[in-house]
Amino acid sequence: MEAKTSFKASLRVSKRDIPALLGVLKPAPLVPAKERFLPYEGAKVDFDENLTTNSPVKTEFMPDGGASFRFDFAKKRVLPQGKEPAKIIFGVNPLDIRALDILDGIFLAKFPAYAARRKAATVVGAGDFGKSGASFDLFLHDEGLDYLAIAGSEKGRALLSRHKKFFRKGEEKTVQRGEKPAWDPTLKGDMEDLRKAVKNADPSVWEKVATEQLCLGCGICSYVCPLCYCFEVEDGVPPGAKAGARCSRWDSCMLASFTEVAGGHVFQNALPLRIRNWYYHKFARATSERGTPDCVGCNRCFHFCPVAINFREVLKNAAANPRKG
Amino acid sequence: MPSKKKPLGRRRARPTAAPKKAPVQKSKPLVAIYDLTDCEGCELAFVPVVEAVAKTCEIVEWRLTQEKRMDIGDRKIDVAFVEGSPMSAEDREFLGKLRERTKVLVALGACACIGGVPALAGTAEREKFMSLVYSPEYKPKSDTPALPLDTVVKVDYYLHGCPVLPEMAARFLEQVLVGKAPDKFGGYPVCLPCKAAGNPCLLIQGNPCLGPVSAGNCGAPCPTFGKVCYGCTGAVKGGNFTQMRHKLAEILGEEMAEAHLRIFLKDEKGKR
Repeated sequence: MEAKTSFKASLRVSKRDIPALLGVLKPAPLVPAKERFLPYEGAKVDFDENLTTNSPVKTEFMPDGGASFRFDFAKKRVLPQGKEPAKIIFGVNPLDIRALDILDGIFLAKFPAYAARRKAATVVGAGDFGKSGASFDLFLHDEGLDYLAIAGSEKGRALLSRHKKFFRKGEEKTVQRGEKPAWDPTLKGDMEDLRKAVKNADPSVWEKVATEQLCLGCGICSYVCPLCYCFEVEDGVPPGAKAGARCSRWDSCMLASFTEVAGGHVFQNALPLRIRNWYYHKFARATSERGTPDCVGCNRCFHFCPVAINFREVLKNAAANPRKG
Repeated sequence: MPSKKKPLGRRRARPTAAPKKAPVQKSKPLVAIYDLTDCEGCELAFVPVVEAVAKTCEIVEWRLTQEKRMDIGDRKIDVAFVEGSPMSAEDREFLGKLRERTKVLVALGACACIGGVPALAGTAEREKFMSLVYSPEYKPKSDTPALPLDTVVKVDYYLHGCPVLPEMAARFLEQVLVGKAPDKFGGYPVCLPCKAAGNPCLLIQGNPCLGPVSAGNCGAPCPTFGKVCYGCTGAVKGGNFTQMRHKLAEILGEEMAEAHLRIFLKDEKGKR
């Protein structure tokens, strides 16, 4: 991955040819947003932040129940991290690519299974390059009837040269990817203000989410979040097997079991506390650790919430109601 | 003090014990499976599971598959699975006796764990329908509505589901047979595996799905096939039932919302 922000590109592919391209790619690509590559001219291909798919891109790299490492009882040892099967993820939302930047920063060096899955995957982004992060191999910048193909890595360049016949050379263009978070939750893009607002919000803000906005505490906002990466550890050993795997199952701080400790005590048993934890981790703790919040503004948590809680409204409310005294 | 240690590996073998009694065989754990009022679906789901671990245990009683009971004398049953709901004085007496001669008692399936489908029935007009369907002279054996097992005896473990899923049951049986506490139920809701499978939200589509308050250990098979979750795996820990009722009432109205939530009969004795 190249961390630069300015890219030169000259190859273009017609939107009409995308279905054919998808047909010849090997291995067969995963297309998280199939409906966006409808095979007719001038199809509205809108990778707007309001049009994200159910599954965030983390699903491919930190699958629910995915093995962190494997072990062998007979040999009494942990087996080395093997190679993961190669895959192409086609049409990743630019905001998801931004989320990958942050996930890579957290896990790439410390989580061999994640690193192996990342290494085996070719990420093809599509949409507005101005919103994108750096973690793409190939990016298809939306130019109306065409996509401008921007290679971000060797893998991306290789893919372009393998499928030359789909791409035609045109005038060279310099494009900029977004450097700063491309979203403005409430506070004019000032993450430090947001951090303070969430940290110092009055408890009534979180209580209101639980009681007035009818939060079910189901944790869907975490499962669909591209940057909710907390997991639970579970050993998977099939009956009678001599080997098994330590698996990481998705978890959410919206669940009571998240803070349950040995002996059965639950630290955050009240729903408002758990709601606060969700916002605090994303918008206060992450900002003080890394300078950016664990949120790319993809809006999934709002769109897939059964009771339609809008995180932007909650943040606004938090900023407007600092703790008294 | 002079050392009397002998080099390793040269120790004299212990003298053999005086005349042995009967050769002591390490016996396999005894497993029994019973059913009360239910559809026997869980038992059927259990057949391949028991077959898979048949070598490691001894089935002493299973009405569905045996003609004769095995005589175990005064030995205790190691693991007893009971499926279905106790409905009569006879059932309750049987359970009391079973408890005394069982080390680990497991409630098998939704009916035994939480009341299940039989417990969904309205009880208001029970007598009226009894006399309509059978006859006014008919005296039913049952004297209670369907209740979960633990309203009668102490239950050690619960194996939820309607019916229980074979993979889950296999893991459960394996863990119980080796004496390990089985996986806990209800740590996360059905929404977790449902979203991991990439399903659209049935609640958002306006269907009365109980996923957010039901234990997700099942892996969300129903929503994955487009059917709403009706809570057969029991309540999730810390589920927000107040809000779930609000949400359901929006879709179905107060009365039907209450009826849908009745599946969680066990958890707070029906008041929710």
